[in-house]
Amino acid sequence: MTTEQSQTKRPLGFTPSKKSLSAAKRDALWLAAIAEKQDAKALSDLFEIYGPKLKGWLMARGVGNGTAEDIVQDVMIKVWTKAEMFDPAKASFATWVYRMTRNKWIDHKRKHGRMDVRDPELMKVIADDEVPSAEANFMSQESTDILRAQIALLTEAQQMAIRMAFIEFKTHKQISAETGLPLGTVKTRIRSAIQALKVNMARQREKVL
Amino acid sequence: MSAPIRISQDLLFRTINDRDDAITDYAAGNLSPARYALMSCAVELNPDLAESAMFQTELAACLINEIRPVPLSPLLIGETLAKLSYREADEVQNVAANDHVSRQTRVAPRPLRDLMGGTGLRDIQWKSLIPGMAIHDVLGNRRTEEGDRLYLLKAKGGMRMPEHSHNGEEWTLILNGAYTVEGRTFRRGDLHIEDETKTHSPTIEEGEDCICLVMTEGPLVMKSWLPKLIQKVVGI
Repeated sequence: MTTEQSQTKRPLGFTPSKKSLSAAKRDALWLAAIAEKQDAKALSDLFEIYGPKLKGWLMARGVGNGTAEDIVQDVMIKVWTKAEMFDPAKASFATWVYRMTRNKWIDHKRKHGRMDVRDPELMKVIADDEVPSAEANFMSQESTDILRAQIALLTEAQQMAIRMAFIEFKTHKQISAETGLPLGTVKTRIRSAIQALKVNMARQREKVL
Repeated sequence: MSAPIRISQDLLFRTINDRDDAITDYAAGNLSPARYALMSCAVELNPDLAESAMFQTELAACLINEIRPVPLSPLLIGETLAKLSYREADEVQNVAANDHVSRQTRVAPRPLRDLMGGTGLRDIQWKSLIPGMAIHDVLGNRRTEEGDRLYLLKAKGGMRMPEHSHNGEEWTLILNGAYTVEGRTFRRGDLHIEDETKTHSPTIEEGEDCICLVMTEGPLVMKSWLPKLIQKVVGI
């Protein structure tokens, strides 16, 4: 057994890496600088890190380059105006900004996918950038990094199902059609993967506390 | 010292008919606008659903790192910074406090009110369908690209809805009142998903009107001639 492996077996178990902790703290500090001092440099720094990721997500969904940049720009302007609503105890910035991007993307689909576009002023974004109270405190800042490690521990079949749903954006029916697996099997696989992640996340947090 | 971690027996919220995939597709952004809007409202009203949706949203945000990032155009950040508006130093940020207070008590959840341009349920125009039943289109009168349609449905307490089945899925979020179908009662915050295989005829509970947000995929298939006729006129 290597030293590194034996370290992970310590009674304390999980230790978040310094790097990931500082990334989460760094984001929270930038958000605070925007909220309190209207610090444009902080927004620019966040933009540099998250902009290409969000643009990549949109383009992987089939959004064109220009539209993807328009959506990302809208999202970053929203980060600027809503920064004081960000609460690092409720969700990480990565999750917060992902939700905003998801909302803008669906909003875009709604506006451009139908024949009868109404007054654009009326067709406001479905704004759920506030985290509803029921979701409060569920995820701490370093959770994202723990989660990433936990995904790697899933079975190969589970990982594949999760990837198809979240990275290839396929519905369960599409996954079933593509893999030849019965719909019920796809559901069970994704459900069990998410449940396993949830249980493991709760355990990890217990260890950290 | 470790604080007790609350792990409920069933860690995932179960939708009726075992449709957890709706939550996964919501989190991943795979839903049509009509379904997404309905789920956004459901999340607002249903804490179990909200918790599950939040966890899976976190998962989706985490998995963004597995997708190839695409470099931004060189001028994008600069252009965006030039568009920022600045508030005066002494300007107090007004986070709508009363919206927060009223959130639980208003019949229409916030995402629905936003879609309706800020209108609440009291001010909307209902279109009568059959005696005791009326609808109001939320996402236009015409079908969306995916063939999904979102509307509000109001039915009088005590009435039995016409028996119908579907050409596609029907998602119902109960906003007010309650109804029973096959011995199962659905109330405010419950999400009821039916697929094309079922014929059903919900009974509205006695008392107040039942108001639901409904997404249908393809026209309903009515069993008797009167609803069929009206359906032609009203077009659900």
